[in-house]
Amino acid sequence: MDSHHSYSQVKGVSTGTTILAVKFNGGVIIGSDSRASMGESYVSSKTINKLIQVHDRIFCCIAGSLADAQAVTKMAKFQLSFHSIQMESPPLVKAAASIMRELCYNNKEELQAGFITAGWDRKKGPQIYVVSLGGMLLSQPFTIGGSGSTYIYGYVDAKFKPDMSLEEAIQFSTNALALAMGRDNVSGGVVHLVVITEAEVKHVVVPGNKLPKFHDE
Amino acid sequence: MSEELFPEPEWLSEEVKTGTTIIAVTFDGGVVLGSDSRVSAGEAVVNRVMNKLSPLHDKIYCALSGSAADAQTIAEIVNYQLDVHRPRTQYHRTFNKDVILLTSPDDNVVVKQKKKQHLHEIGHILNAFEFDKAWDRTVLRKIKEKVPHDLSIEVEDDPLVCSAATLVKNISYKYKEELSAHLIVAGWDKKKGGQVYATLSGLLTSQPFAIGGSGSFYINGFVDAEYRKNMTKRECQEFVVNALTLAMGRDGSSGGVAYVVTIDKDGAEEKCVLGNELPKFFDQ
Repeated sequence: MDSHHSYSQVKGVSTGTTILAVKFNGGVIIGSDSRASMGESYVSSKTINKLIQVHDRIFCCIAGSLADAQAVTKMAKFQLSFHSIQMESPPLVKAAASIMRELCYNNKEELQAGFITAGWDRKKGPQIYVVSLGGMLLSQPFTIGGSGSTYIYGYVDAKFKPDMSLEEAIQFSTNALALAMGRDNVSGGVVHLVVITEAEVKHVVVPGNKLPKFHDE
Repeated sequence: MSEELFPEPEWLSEEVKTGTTIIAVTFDGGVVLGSDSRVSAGEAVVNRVMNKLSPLHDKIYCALSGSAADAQTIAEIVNYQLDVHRPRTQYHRTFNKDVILLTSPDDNVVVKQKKKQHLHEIGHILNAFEFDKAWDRTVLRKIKEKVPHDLSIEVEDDPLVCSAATLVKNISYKYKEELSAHLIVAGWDKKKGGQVYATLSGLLTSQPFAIGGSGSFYINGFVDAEYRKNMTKRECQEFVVNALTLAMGRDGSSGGVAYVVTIDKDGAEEKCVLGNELPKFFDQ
């Protein structure tokens, strides 16, 4: 069997992780697990929040080196707030994603982090953008990332439907994250979900004992 | 000069691997095995229609993954060894196994060495070889009648799935350093019905379902979520085909057609599901 390198080869704290974002009827859900690990065997934090708010209705989640990700999101947050003051209106999700992409692309040699940017804006409603390691920007109806995502590709391919309701989307995200956490040893802890709609931003936390159980548990 | 213009293609020197997806699932009354059909050597696909489900016996199949040569060889060796379970077979120099005496399953007791020796002395036990070599089935039946009713003889007409899996495991473990193949053994026998055994690197474990190969990483979540105990035969076949389709959709080294084998008490049924008949999922 091929040896399968599913963790990022970074030193220091890395978020071997599972992140996802899903568009539903009226908004987006962005979610992640909560484990930060050093190498494969030490969990340096059980309850880290990987969902970072860069503006009122725009969130980012990070996979890869935690240090790189924090630096990039801090810079992006600053640039975005400046941009929105100049524009005198809330920024577009695409603008936030573009800022991340510029930073990733221009520093692609040094950085080792990928991002999912999701949010709501007045122009196009709910959107999801994924900025990958080298700086590619892509818009998708749902996306998964991080080391634990390989295990749930089959599940999300089979189960995703466009235009789900809020409850279905929450169930879909929780199930997908629970399955990935069940198989990936560098993902775990609790499930953090943020639901972003025009009206509000709601943070949902599903602790370990309330996660859905599957056939072997 | 000509070598620079036309360098030898990489796949001629790359090892041939079945980067693959294999899956075996038990259902109420049997098992279903499935595999894709792609064999790759580095980046090239060298065979797009290989059937990776290899028969070990009438009702026992194994699914191959890892290095193609290693996996095929293990399967052939075990197929050869299990031929002992066919009536009137040839004498094998290398295979040597005592008849194992078991007490009746209700007793839950393991027969002690002394008792075995005693039975040997009074002429009840012989080597499995000598059994097959010298006598045909009518004599075997007469011997069984003479043996006390609370003892039974293991060498039956059909091998247990567990025996086949153990033979595979023995080879995998003994040559662990040299071989790199992972076989999933599944089948049906009278004693325990449908069973699936995973034999990764010499481990032997019985599971309700097993997945293997490079494509299996992508469907871990799907099979965890969708597997249910005691499915019907139909549901199980659909489950296997769905899982294979999803894996082939994401894994670069799995693809082609899906081969499905269903084994129950009536025998084994092979089926091939072509690419355009595979189910479709959400795609942008």
